[in-house]
Amino acid sequence: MKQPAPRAGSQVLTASVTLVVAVVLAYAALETLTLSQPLRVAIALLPWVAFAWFIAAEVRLVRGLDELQQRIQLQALAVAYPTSILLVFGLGLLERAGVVVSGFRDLRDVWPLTIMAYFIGLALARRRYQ
Amino acid sequence: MKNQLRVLRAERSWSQAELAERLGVSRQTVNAIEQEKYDPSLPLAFKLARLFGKPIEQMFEPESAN
Repeated sequence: MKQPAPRAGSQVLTASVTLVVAVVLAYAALETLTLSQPLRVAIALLPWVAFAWFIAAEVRLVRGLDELQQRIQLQALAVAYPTSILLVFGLGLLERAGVVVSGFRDLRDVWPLTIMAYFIGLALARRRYQ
Repeated sequence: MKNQLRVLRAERSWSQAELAERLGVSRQTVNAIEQEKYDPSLPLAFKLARLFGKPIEQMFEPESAN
């Protein structure tokens, strides 16, 4: 049986911070700078590298968890994933219906809510097994 | 599922953290099993049984016979 990897958590944190910074910088560069099309595509693809790193770190973290911790992660994702889908379709449809949802412009505004849903799911699952 | 884990651990004067380390799981998992909030997988249950030198059926008992 595997021991929980102590460094895996900090790697996920570092990767997620890098991902957020890469996404924010890429959006800022694409919206403000006048660049050639190939460069725009390159900048748009740059966060994908950070995202791949984030996924790899997350997989390493989950593989290092024990069976109960993996179950807790699964339950957290079981809250976060449907919530994300609900938000994307629900808010998107409201927008098409002409309803302006405060603070929601497009899909960029959904991911903080996804993260929040994940942590709510995580807290609920952890509480269940305390 | 009912289990005797807390009693068996106390008999050996092991802390939850110590037992967790021997099993290769987190202290949270040991605590959840002791409180009967989580039923361990078969491999973990066998590992517990081997660690305490008891048959698995003496360590774990179904909630009801039905």
